[in-house]
Amino acid sequence: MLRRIEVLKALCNKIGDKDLIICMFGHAANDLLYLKDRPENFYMRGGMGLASSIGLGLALTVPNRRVIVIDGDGSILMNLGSFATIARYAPKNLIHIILDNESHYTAGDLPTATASKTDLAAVARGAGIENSLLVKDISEFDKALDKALSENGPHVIVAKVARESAMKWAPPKRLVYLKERFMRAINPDHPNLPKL
Amino acid sequence: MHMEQDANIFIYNGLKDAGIRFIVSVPDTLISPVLNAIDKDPNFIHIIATREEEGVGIAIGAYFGGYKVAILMQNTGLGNSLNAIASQGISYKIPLLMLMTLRGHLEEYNPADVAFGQATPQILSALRIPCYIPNTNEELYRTIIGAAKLAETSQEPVVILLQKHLFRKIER
Repeated sequence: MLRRIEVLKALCNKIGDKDLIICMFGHAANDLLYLKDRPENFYMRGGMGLASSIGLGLALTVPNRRVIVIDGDGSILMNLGSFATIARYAPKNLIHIILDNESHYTAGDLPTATASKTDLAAVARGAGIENSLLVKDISEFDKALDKALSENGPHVIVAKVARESAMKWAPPKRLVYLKERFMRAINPDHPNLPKL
Repeated sequence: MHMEQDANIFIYNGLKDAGIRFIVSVPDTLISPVLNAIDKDPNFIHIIATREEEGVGIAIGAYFGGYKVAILMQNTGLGNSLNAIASQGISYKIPLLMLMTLRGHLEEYNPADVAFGQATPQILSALRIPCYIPNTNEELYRTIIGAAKLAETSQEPVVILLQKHLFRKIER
């Protein structure tokens, strides 16, 4: 069994400075904020299930940047159709990492369907994402991430992680600040933002 | 562009002239001609979502990526996407132009669409989302141009509801 913090640490160590991260709300965002906050990270504070969809729209419109989505099992189970849409439009620059702790841990620790039968990597493959792996220890994760970082995507990596609380950090509540900081990291002269 | 001379051609021209190049849709019969045209047009990126809530997420990502975006759907899809519109679109101040065919009003034939259709304007008003209901196709074109500008200025979602009568073929 992996620890969420070691997965995120490995990710932070391997990605490039320009790589963009869309991170779901919850313990993972708190960990990421603690490990490596940077303007290239976008933190959600709601919209459960939508991280991969935001990542898809972004990956399709900035094809020269890598987009990494940090998602959870409870979140993606709310939006399984996202696998089908990602497979269909197949952005090469999208890596979808699902931290699967088999629990709605942030929302009171009730088990999700992955605690019993559901294999999210198989669901993604069935939806048409061929590069879809289930990993259970850190060497498997490292290998899967190296492959995802070196070969054309889209990629899905489902990492089985322990149910653990995060550091007591949380993304700032100034949502427009989070958005604008991220957009200016994509493009300092972003056409969708007013000039500074 | 060969297309039905009804609301479809006005929607196509409106979106194009408003500078919108990224469209997310969940298809609906009435707007299928414009969606088919956009799907084949290399000037647009068109993504067909499985569900409207997913579509809102995709549109937000494309806005981050630098595009002007619009979402086309049936108003029933508003029900499927309300939390995404509120928690992401309004809260993060994202200019989402949303065009929705209006079911559950005059000439409706499906009893399942009446309840949400009748409630749609009030739901939008409860969320303080500007909502426009053009009565003619010329007005529709101007509304698309104006609503795109309003969304950009307010940095918030704006809705245009598309009444059924706009889709009657114009007799020549």
